[in-house]
Amino acid sequence: MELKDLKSAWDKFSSNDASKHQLGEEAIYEMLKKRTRNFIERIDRNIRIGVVFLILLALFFAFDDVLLSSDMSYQATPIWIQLMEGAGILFIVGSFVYFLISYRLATKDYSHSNDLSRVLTSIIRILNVYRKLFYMALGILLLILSISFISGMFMGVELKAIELGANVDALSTAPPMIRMIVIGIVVLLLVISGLFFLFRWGFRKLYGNYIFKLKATLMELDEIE
Amino acid sequence: MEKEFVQIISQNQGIIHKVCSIYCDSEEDRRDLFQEILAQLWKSFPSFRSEAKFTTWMYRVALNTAITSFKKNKRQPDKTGIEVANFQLAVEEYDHETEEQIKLLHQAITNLSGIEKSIVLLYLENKKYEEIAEITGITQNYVRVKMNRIKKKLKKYMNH
Repeated sequence: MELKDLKSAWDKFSSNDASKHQLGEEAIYEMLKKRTRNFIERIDRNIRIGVVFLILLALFFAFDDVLLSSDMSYQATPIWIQLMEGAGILFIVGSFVYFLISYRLATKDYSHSNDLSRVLTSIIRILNVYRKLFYMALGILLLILSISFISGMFMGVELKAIELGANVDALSTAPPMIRMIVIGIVVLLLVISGLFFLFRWGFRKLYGNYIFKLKATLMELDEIE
Repeated sequence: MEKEFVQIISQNQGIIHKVCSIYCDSEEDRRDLFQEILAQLWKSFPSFRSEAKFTTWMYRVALNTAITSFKKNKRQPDKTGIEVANFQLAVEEYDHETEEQIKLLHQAITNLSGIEKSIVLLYLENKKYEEIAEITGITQNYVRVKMNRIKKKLKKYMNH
């Protein structure tokens, strides 16, 4: 069979297939009303949810530190824990601002009416920003977990010292307490790395193949150009 | 603007159906891609400039959407089985020779990459290299080189 035969087969097939799937104007109107399953729009929604989550988290921390915990712990909490918590809030707010700027820059150029190379580059850039947001959110979650864990451990030692009428420094250097602290740190590290690898695996499973496919297509375009 | 858009899409919807038939293996995928292309066309419609041909612009948006479409990693049943099943539905109205040709054409196209599929579709639609380059946004030289490779691939496939 020759290539011209393929053309005639295509002509017969495509005209028949198009008339079989023909839609009326009403059906097209209906389709336009439906929510699109577009990947970038889904990312857009996820990013908006992520940003709202970050704002709520930052507000919660600020509220917790300034109003709820001010009477209870600010007097007793050492300055390094206060600084750590402050740095945590600054990190969340900084991430939020950085994120909005990166995302705005990445989506500025995105349109399916551009040429293929630009479309591919834009989507890859958006996905990279999305990946950064994902890891940043994960980092923030793990940071909060660590800060809470360390603060909790410190407060636990302090309460125990008060209960026993002992000195905090003396109690924290006692061998059973050191053992407890070491076990606590090991558990914390295991939980943090476990969560990190679990989330990373989930992200790669969802989007890894897609990113790979887009990059391969872009490479195919660059091959000859 | 929506009314104008729907009318013009309705008249040219054959382009979307052709793109869907080249890129999709199942009716479900086809419906999703059709909707996706329609949404992208509607979104890009305000930026359409009348100095370009509407069909050229439509091909461009449809092909870009098809090439970059995202499919979740769902468990894929035996692909050949699906293709044969869908295909038999599509070709039962043709004579034996045409049926064989269409079957061969589908099988040959399935083995091509996303970019190759777009070039072969435009070639089958009798578009000149110049127009293929305009639609895809790649150089004519690239189209020529790629088309020669595709022809070799198709010939090799058809001689097997």
